[in-house]
Amino acid sequence: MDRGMNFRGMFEAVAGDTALVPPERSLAAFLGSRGGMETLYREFAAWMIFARGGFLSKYPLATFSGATDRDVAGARSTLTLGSGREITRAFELPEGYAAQLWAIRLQKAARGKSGSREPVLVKVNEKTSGMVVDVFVVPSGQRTLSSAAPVKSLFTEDSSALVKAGVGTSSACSPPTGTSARGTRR
Amino acid sequence: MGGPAHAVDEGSRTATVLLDHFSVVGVFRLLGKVLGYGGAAVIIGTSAGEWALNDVYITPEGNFKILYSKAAIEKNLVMNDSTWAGRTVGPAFRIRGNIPSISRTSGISGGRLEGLRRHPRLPQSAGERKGWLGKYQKQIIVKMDSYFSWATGAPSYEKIFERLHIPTDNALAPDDARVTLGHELFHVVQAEYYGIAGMSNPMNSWWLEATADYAGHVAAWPAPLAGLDYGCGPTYLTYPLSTKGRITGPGWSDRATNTSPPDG
Repeated sequence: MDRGMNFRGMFEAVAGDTALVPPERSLAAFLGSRGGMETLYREFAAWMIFARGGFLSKYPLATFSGATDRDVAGARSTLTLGSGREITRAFELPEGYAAQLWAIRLQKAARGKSGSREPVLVKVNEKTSGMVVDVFVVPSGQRTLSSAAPVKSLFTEDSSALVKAGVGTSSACSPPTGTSARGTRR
Repeated sequence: MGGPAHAVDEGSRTATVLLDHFSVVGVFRLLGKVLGYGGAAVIIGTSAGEWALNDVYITPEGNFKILYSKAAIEKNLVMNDSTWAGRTVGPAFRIRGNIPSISRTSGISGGRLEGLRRHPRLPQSAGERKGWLGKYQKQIIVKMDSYFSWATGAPSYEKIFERLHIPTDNALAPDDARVTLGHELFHVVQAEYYGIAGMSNPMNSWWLEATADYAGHVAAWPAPLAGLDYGCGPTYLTYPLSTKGRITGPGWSDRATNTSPPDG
């Protein structure tokens, strides 16, 4: 509704769909000319996780030591900048619009300069139809973003993006510095 | 507090019960409960004629008919439990007092649901509805602490008779009452589109509950009420959109695999 859509119009469009189809399909048809359900769902998921008023902002993004049961992130990794190391993750998401957060904490190398921003390559090796990877950069010490928009979005297999992110000084239970890759699937 | 109150005098082996609504289901449940006291002789000591009939309050606009038990509230001697004790104004009276403003701000008699109210397919809750015998008055019936509330333990919309069932303990907090009323009222709106079959189809459940939640917290009121996020646990997004219910525990995220060795 924050996107200027009308609740009544949306409800009636779905309820008035005479074909006996699942409401999510009717909703997708209604939203087709209003930005598209896939795009709107990705924006919704980003808002839920990263916006100040997002419903999941009350939970930590990722905790790197201690209990993780309140984390939004389904997985967490640490990457040392300049180490040449590669980390990979396979997302397994259910069909029907779902999203998952992978939090990656960036840490500096032993002789690295703190405060510098270094390039991180994010690449989609392979993916199933409908999955999109959105990349967000959350500065050190922050939980939410003023704009819950991804810095990069990867739609196709073998696509990649170079993201500049700063070195952080994350500690347990504090919001991590680094890139957060979020996959959504319709 | 849900359901009738009871008091047991072990000395005289007498159980006194108060039925705040007459209901066969309620009676049987209550008897079962009372008989559990060691097979004591049970006397339903309250005057059935007084208690069995519901009190009725109809809002000035004629849009709500509230069925409740005035006597159940006033007889603190039998409603003497921690929920009710010490209250000078009973929960149902609080509801009754709030109903005019609730009906206004919910849009039944003005407000943001006014547009929906005027929709030709909707019951004109404050007024007319067209039937095969002509136009007639449609009221939304709210039953306080009915057997339906008892069975479900929660505020409910009853699909067949299109009644709202509200436990009084839900009505004690004004904001909770508003959320509940807006939510359950929107089920009445939905029923005009979906009918009993559509309302009962599990395929539609998530959509019906999600839009009713939105109506109860946001659309029904001039200013949004807090709490729309009540069912959102940290793994909320890892479930498909059509999942219904609270999502607070670990979910699909557990199934993902991290194929990297630990770094650093």
